[in-house]
Amino acid sequence: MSDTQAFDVIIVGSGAAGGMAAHELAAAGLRVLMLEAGRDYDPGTETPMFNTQEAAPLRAAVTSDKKLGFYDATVGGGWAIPDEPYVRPDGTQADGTLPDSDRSFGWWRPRMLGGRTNHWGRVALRFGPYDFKPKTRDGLGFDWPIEYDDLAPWYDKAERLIGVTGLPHGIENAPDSPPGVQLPPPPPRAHEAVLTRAFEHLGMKVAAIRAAVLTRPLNGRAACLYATPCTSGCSSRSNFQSTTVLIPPARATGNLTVVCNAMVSRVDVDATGRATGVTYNDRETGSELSVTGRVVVLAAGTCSSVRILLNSRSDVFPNGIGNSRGLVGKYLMDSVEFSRSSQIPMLEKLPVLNDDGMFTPHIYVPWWLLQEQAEGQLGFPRGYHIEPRGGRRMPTTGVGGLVDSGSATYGDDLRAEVRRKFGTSITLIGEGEMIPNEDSFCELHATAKDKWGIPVLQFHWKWGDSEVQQAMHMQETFNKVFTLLGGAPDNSEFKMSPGGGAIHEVGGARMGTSPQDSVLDSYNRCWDVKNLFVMDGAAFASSPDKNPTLTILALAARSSARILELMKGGGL
Amino acid sequence: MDQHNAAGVGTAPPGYGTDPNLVTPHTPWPRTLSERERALIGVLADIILPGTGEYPAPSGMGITDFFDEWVSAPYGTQQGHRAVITAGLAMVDAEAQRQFGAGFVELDPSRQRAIVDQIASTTAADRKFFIRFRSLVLVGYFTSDIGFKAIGYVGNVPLLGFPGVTPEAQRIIDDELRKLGL
Repeated sequence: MSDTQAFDVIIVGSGAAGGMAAHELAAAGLRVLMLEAGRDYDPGTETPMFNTQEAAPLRAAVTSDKKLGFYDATVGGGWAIPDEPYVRPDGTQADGTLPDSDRSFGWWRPRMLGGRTNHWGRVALRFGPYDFKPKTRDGLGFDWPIEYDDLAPWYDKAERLIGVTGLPHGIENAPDSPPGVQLPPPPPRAHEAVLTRAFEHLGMKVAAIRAAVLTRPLNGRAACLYATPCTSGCSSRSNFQSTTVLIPPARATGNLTVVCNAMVSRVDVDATGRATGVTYNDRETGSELSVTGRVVVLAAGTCSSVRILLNSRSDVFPNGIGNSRGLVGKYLMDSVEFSRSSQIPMLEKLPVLNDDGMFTPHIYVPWWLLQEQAEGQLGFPRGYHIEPRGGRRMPTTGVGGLVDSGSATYGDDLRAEVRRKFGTSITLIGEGEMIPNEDSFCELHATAKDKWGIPVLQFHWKWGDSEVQQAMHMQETFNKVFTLLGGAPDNSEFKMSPGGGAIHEVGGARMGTSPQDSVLDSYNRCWDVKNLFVMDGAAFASSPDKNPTLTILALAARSSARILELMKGGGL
Repeated sequence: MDQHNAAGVGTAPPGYGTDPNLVTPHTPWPRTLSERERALIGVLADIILPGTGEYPAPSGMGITDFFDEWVSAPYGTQQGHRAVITAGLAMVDAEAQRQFGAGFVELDPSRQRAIVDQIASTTAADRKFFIRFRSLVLVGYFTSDIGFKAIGYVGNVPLLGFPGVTPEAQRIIDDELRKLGL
């Protein structure tokens, strides 16, 4: 890469935000450079479609090399990356495991084109009107500088592009898409039909899942084959991955240059505080290179973008870019992810069915207690949704757990018990909103550095009482469902996950209405550096229960349109 | 390659790394169990999970190779299992010698079952080996392609549409839910 070549826009990162920015800006004719920290990755040739466990080492079990299993579409990453350490709240360096402490933090990073969009869960929920104004509603956290109506057209655009299932349910604060935008959902699996009855008995409204999976061909991509897990990626391009949906058309314009193994360390600024480009280390050669561009977009993933901002220290910005008020890295959030499982005897009566479906649940339960919450009947102010898992899915190395270790069963009885119990357990997963707090943040560690000498992050984490109360409510609710269906309550020890465990970390460079109380304006533009945009989850002012990816896509599309508008008007 | 090193003792573990080929997987570590241990695993696994007219016994579908690959892996979990399994196999053979004067593999089926009853008993002093061995038999068997059929997994096939619940299944669901008052 020549350091004299100038680009209109430099995008750091290639996941949901970076992919969307590249897609929009390259299509508009701008010369775009995308810098990805990991290697090139081609889902067309690298996805293990229909591979079975038998073909994999250790039957695809989780190992320290592949912490989410052999076939998980994460390249060169996990809870730790050699040469790229981070420091946990207790001062220790990450060792590749998710720490077993609710005061600790785990940071999942891949090193591949497309980032975490290659393996994400594909649940694609819109934030609702209340989600943008949480402080106005209950006095806690921060409002966004935009409303649902500001983002709605961009949700439409993102959904039309990537394909998202759903039905118009009219559920409060769980917005439907306009007619023609949503794809038809597949029918429920058997255990989902069973659960629906129990949920409704408890007063919950059950909705068709909103998943970024095609149930019809769309934009030249094939419909789902209802087999082979999304988390391994998809060579038929039937789900959303940046590497199948956004980057190929952006490349096809001829306007996008992608450089992999480019580990960006800082945004460069001139004496007036304007961004001139970025500096990165080539991960293969180790050499430090700088590139210049008129606009810089940070889309490296929440904490990576925060780290770049903090490391962008100069005479103009001695504390890093956007950090004159010490806000960068503050108010880091995750989802309150909590699950419980139970074996449901009535499911043993069902005939053998193919429950693979489209990998995600086919149903979910949007937050159903808004009214009770408003009346102060609950001990926590924010909601959660429920994603059920179960059915006869491809057996994993967890199959040994079907038989109680306390039993002496072997022989023909053992075979019969496994056959009887297979596919009869249900796991209910809650995804809840976390309120930002002063104790959950990241900052540059005073001395620790990565392989290239760049300061690394130290994390700090503490769940608030609201989150703990909410998780306890999940436990109680899930056990009610199990009991209704004749299963035993799951009374495993109550404990909160570490921060980052849901891999939904957002915040750290939030958008707001003024430079006094935020890092970015309402279009993801940095208040301090007018030609710098932060488009990933770092921009989030709150972390609603809805999984973040769809909102990142919508915000990035909206912010990209703003860049085009400002460029045309001479504002950049 | 030295077998002890291959099993992760002493030198850097030769795992498959963080960027293995997922489409055509390769297991880089060699199998390290002795012929005696492998023979014992096959016989014991067939007692734990006998075959049926329809489905093979574990020894007929590759359970021994599965165990050998598993306990030879350089990862911490598997190394922990290796210690339990190799010690347990030696213990089973020693018990066979002590009680019946021959190795476990050489015993007649009723004597083999007597030993298995002892190690499986819920009042046995140490059940670690039985629990781990049984669990690995289940993993090795039911995560295999033949095991999928045996357990009742019929997915991993391309479908034009997802069929949902069949009328037969729906009737059962309705009946069962009615019994639960739902």
